[in-house]
Amino acid sequence: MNAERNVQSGAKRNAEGAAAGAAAGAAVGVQIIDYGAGNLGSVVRAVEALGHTPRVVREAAEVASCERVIFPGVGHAGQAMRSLREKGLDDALRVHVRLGKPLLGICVGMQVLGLHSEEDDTPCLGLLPFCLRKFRTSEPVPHMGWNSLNPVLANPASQAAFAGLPAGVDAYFVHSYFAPLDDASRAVALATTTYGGETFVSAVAQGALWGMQFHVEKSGRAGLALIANFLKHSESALSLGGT
Amino acid sequence: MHKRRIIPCLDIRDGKVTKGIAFQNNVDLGDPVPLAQGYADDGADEIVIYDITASVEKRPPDFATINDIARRVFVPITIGGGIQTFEDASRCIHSGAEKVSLNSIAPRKPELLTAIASHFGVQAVVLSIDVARDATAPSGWRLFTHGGRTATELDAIDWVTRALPYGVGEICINSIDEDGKKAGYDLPLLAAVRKVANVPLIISGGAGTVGHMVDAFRAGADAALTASIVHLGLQSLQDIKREIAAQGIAMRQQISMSSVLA
Repeated sequence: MNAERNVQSGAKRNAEGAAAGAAAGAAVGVQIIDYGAGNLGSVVRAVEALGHTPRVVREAAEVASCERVIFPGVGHAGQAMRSLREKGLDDALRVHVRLGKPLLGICVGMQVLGLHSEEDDTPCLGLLPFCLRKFRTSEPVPHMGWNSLNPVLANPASQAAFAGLPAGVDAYFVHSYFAPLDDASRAVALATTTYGGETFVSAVAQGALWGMQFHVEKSGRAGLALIANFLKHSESALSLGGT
Repeated sequence: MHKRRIIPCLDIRDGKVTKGIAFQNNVDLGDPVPLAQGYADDGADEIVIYDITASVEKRPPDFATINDIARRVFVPITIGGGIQTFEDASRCIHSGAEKVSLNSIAPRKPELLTAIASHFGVQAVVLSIDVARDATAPSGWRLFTHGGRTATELDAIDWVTRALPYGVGEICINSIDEDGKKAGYDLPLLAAVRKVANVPLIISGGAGTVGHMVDAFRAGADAALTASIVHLGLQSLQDIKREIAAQGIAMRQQISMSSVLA
């Protein structure tokens, strides 16, 4: 009944998004991996709002033709790894990353980039040097809600990732397992966050491989800016890498 | 630092946002999609949408509207009203909601909480309770359902204790006594629920000033649901949050649109 009004405001929003998309380089494709993760739709909508038309990829064979991959995730690391292995997506994604192609893992999609998760004693993809532990605190678990991101300036990607964002900007978290900040994880930490007395790695980056523990697709304008920054950085990574 | 949340609540009747006083006398405030988008742009930490007549009319929530809102709102969305089955909840989440809020159905079918929590995670389940003072209830608080219209046999605090193990990520406490009166949230009710529940608590019903929200946060609320203050355009959310932050309560500050377009 209000379709006309909605279309108009949608068109205006898309025009805003298209401006951001053009700046980030809409010519290079964006692919989103679908392996049954609950927030796939939200990730698609966020990327669309930035003026891109993402392609949803379900088969391992399709990954070889992927350019910039967004890898969402909700639920359990064990369940996510099982789904990836069943479809052969685990090796396909390892190859994608080893070729230096860009990938952004979100929430459980970041967690499984690491070595191991305490959740169901799960071996992960082993692409980055961190492990996942469960929060043990008197604060409510899962850690749910808005919390500050403290950029790790020593990470070479930090300038690109946090371009236009104030220090300590808030993002929306929902998780029970976290990557502790230690000597190994520090080398790839892009941001840290503190909850229940634990300072943990809330974002990672090594080359074109990025991960965000929070729900970047539900983190308001800051989240959209982080996604836009990933897309912009990943485009330059692709042109430099010459893949 | 972990932030307290301000959550505008859109009550929807016949596709329009409505605002009631003491759960009655509703006034039409317009189309939910631009209102939700406006609140998100103004710094809402989440958006809650209640279809207030769905459960009375025994129909599911309006999934198309949820989808429209989710295309424009990039903060968490909670849907309440009319969720009778796991499929209803699942469709809400696939239409773009992060959480579903269960009220009338929960005492009749508590296993629905478990079904949703085990599939989508406990954070996706909000237990919503409509409560009024009642000296005949053992704790002094009685549970109501159906938009506050139906008194149950249940003691509200006892119900919370029994509902938690089924899988509850948050509890939204709606005070029937204080709703729409703008005299402050029901803090004794908040304290009574806090005693039995170590999950985030959202307080609803009664805010008339920013001071009332500050009082609720100091009393242990994790989030404040607000309708009157923002719907009536008395103050912008960003101003409200700045005022609360000035009282020493951590609030998320909205960043400018230019950050997204940088």
